[in-house]
Amino acid sequence: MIDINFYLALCSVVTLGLLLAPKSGKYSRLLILFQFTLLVFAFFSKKNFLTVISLESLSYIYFFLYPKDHKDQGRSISSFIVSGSISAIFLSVWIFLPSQSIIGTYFLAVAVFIKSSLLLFHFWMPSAYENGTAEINSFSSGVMAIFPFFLFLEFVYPLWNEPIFYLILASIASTGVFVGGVSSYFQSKVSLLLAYSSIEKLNFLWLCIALAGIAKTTTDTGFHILEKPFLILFYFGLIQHSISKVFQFSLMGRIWKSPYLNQLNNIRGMGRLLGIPTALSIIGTMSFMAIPGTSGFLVESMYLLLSSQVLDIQSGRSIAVLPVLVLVFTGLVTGGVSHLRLFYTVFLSTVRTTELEIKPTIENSKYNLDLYWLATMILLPSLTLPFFWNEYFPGTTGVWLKDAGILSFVSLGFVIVVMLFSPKKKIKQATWDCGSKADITRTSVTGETYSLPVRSSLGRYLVKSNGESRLDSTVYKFIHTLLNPYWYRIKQMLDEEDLSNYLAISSGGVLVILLLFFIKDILGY
Amino acid sequence: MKEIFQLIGFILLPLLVGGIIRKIRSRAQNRKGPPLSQVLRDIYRNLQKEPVVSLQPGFFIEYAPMIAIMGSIIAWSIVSFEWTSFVFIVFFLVLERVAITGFASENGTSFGGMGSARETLLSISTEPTLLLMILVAQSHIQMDASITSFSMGALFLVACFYAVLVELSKPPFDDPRTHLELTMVHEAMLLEASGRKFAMFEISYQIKSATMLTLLVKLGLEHTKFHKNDYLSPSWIPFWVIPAVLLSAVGLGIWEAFCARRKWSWVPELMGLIFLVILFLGTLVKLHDI
Repeated sequence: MIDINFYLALCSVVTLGLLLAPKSGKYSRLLILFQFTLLVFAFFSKKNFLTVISLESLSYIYFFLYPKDHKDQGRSISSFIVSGSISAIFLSVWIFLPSQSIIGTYFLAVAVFIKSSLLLFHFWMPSAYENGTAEINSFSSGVMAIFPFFLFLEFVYPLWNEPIFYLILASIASTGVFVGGVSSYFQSKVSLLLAYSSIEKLNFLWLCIALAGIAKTTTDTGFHILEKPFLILFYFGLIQHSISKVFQFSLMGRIWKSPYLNQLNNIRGMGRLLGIPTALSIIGTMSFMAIPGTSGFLVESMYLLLSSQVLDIQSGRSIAVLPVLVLVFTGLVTGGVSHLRLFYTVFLSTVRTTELEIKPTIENSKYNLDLYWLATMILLPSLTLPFFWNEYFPGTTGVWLKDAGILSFVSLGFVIVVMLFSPKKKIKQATWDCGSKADITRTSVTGETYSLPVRSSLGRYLVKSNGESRLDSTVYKFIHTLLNPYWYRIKQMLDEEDLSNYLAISSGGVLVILLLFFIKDILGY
Repeated sequence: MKEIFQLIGFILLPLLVGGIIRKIRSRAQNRKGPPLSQVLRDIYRNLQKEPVVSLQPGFFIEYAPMIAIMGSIIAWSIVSFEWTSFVFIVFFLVLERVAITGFASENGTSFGGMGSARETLLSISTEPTLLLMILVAQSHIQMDASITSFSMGALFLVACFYAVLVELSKPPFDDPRTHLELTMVHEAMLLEASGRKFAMFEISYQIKSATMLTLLVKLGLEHTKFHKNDYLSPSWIPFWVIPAVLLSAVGLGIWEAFCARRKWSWVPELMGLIFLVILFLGTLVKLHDI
């Protein structure tokens, strides 16, 4: 029952974190708490319909809790609602089909793939996050995106016993890690950078499930025992992604409050004005960089250890791991470094301009309470989970997992000791570079400084010079062409006969659906 | 016996490797060069001096040197004593890299930012290769004594050597001898470091040099079956590690003397190629294994 307990704990943790957020009012907090309770109850009692309803209603409550600051947010909310609606259609089919139906699991799988942005089902996410508020994005990426995984593991995973499903899933997910990581690195908007980073991480989670599925369906005993470790790795990854991403959105949301402030280059150095201690603000970035002491370290080191176990297996299937590793390593590294790029530009670079002042908040520590809470949640798993969950890992991997915990303790302990006990002496200050009297605010570093050198070799195949994803824009174009034929084209001014044309098209659609029912029920196909 | 050799290597190699590289480089260029202990003397001299910090001090300027040393020492202990999986090494190298780039960025100077950006590029280019290299080191893949295996193993080591060059900021990826901030990477990041803080970064770099060379040597020694007699048997590997690392430091010194730094656009292309070479070789070895 690890999954139920895990979700219960996760819901409680994230709900508490959200309730501590400074913006939400008394009634909205109560509403969120009620919805989460309902959701947890629905999971416990396995009421699928209730789960879906509470899931969807919770999303919508969140959308409307926050004010619409500018007109572009309409597009983001539309993307959220369209993706949610398409997903809900597939979910509804699954709900109305018999519970053990394999056909039903295909529909459910598509629904959860959309919700959790598996590559090729992810197109809504960048568009939804681009102009959304940090609060909605953090909720969607950190909390809502993880529930589909539960549905998959609970209702699809036990019924899918064909290796081909998992092999396809592993191929798509590993490509997704690569595409997400690389696209994230070349973004010039904060929201898009975090959106593609979410795609990278969510695809990584799908990869863990796929590898567990491959292990489940293989006849090789050496590989078969790795099913549970890969599932545990998925749980590690889920905790890391959801909490670290909420942290990043909460942190960046303090600056990114308008489309102008969403541009990375416009906010360089502004993090310094927030008055948040660097040791606190960097923790989310450290987690994505897999620095020892954070949950990211635990996830990536475990993935590498399990991969090395797979490599040692005397089986033809283990060769397939190597090409997967190429994509995954590159994706993970670029995804992690994209957070570093974000942090360096916003929090370590000098302030470019003083036109847009951000009020320092160092006096009000309550303002940062959510960050402290989330930072603790980022650090705790790497210090505790290795000692409790190592028994699920076979042979030396279990011992290494414990070692990961020890290394986390040592690293974190060392940094804390150095911070507490290093002598605080007054040190002479001067800058050699540009002369000691130079205006240091002129030397702030842009986001492109980090990404431009790799653009021609890595980025140009996936991302345009303005940061737009080539894959996404091609798909948008295709969908636009498909949904916007000559007779149904969006017009500035409607003609008189347009209304009847639209009615005729809608009636045609209804007739086709009725025909399908007729074929199924009357003719028996 | 094994532990004694490991302990000797743990203490001696970081003290010697940097000096040997500098000495051999000078000799190869027909110069007398500084004594072997010059690196250590420089570190000692700097440790005595009070640092001068940037106009906007912060977390990284304050603590990055200590964090860099910690990262290097833990990685070095793993490589030396093999007390846990080699996989963890890469994370501590990343920690050391983040400490230095954070230090450079927080200073807020243009050269620091530029050096840090270039280091990030090197990081993206080399980390996947390093991860793949360490995975092979971690696995039980063994090369037998055939010509095919020898060729593949040698090619693999050459590719790994390039990854080590990137990690250690050596030519053709970086060249501190140019004495020009516009072309340097590692030194450009440390322009604002002085006194004790600079010495700490230097200690961390010397330990990292020993770590990377030892990792390369162990990769070569522990994954081959070329051992013909008792003196080259696996139980003697810890003994051979020390002379092999010193020899590779000599090789690195000669390499540094004759290799020039290449333009930046070439770096990601080359590292991508090396990554693919390691991947293909790994796949071939694995196929051969089955």
